[in-house]
Amino acid sequence: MKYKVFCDGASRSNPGEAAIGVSIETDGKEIHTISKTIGIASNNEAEYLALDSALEYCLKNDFMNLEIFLDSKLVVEQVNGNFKVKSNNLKPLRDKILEHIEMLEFVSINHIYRENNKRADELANLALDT
Amino acid sequence: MNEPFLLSNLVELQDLDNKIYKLIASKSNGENVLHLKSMEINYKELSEKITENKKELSEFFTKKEDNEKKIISLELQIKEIEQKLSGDTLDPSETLNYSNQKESLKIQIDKFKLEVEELKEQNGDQLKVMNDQENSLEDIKNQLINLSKIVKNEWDKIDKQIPDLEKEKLEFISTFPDELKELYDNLKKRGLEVIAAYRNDNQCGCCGVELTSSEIEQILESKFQQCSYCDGVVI
Repeated sequence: MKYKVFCDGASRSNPGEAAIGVSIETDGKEIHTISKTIGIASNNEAEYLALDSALEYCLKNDFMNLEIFLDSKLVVEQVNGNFKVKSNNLKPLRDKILEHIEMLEFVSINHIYRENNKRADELANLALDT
Repeated sequence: MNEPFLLSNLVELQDLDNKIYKLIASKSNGENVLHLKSMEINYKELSEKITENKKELSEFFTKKEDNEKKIISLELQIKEIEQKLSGDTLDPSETLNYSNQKESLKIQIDKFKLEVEELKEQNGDQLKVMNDQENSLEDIKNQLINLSKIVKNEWDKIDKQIPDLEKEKLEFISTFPDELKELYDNLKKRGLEVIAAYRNDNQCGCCGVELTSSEIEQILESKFQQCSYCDGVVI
């Protein structure tokens, strides 16, 4: 079965109080969401942590065929190996993501514009607001 | 200095840097390179297993080699006897004597052969495993040779592309004002993930922080349109 995973990380400042939002869909239906605060983090860390949480959930539940969408071009390009990871705080996060990806059968990490990632954004902001 | 053309050039320069990075990285992280690395590990592991098996079977191999040497020596002796027997210089008692020697040598050969066969049988499972491992090792070796050639070709292509891009980058940078070159280098040295990016609505294209209208105004008024959160150039 194929799953669509929408991820977003949000922080009130950079760094600042941050949260993640994840929406997992299959056959056009949302089957799981993640909406939680992650403490103080930069925007990029929050984006990475959203992806990390999504992958961990998918691995735990044997969702092995994933189409992942993020509105952070940086994270997408770094995970896909197109951008160098320069910050020491992002390197371990990227490496962890790559380890997770290794365990999956199929995964594509795609960039989408914010307006197409509203649900994940909403979930991240919901966590920040509560 | 809020010259849109020049600032957007920073994005292009960054794209060139990213392309160069991707090429360099692909030399160590390319699909075939990773495959080659994993095959090398397999080859090493399998070689170690075979060595270990050979150690465990060392008694068998020593005995086998020893017996094979003895058999060769005995066969040589039989040949010599057969030569003598085929001539007409032997008297009947010598003929009988040599014939008996030949038979005795044949019996010894059979005994040594039997011993080897018995040892083979005793160690059959382990020998079969080792044989399979040796065949696999040979397969991996051939695949390694082929893949190494492919990777070498890929690297040759990359090595040709990198200087072209470096040249393009140098030519491009030469059109930049010194202070923009300096800014780019400084931000790069500081390890800024995204040095320059277009604004995405109210979001900084470099760090992704949601900017207020006054923050955007401040950025646009600053010399190099730098984000107050990440210092990236927001265009």
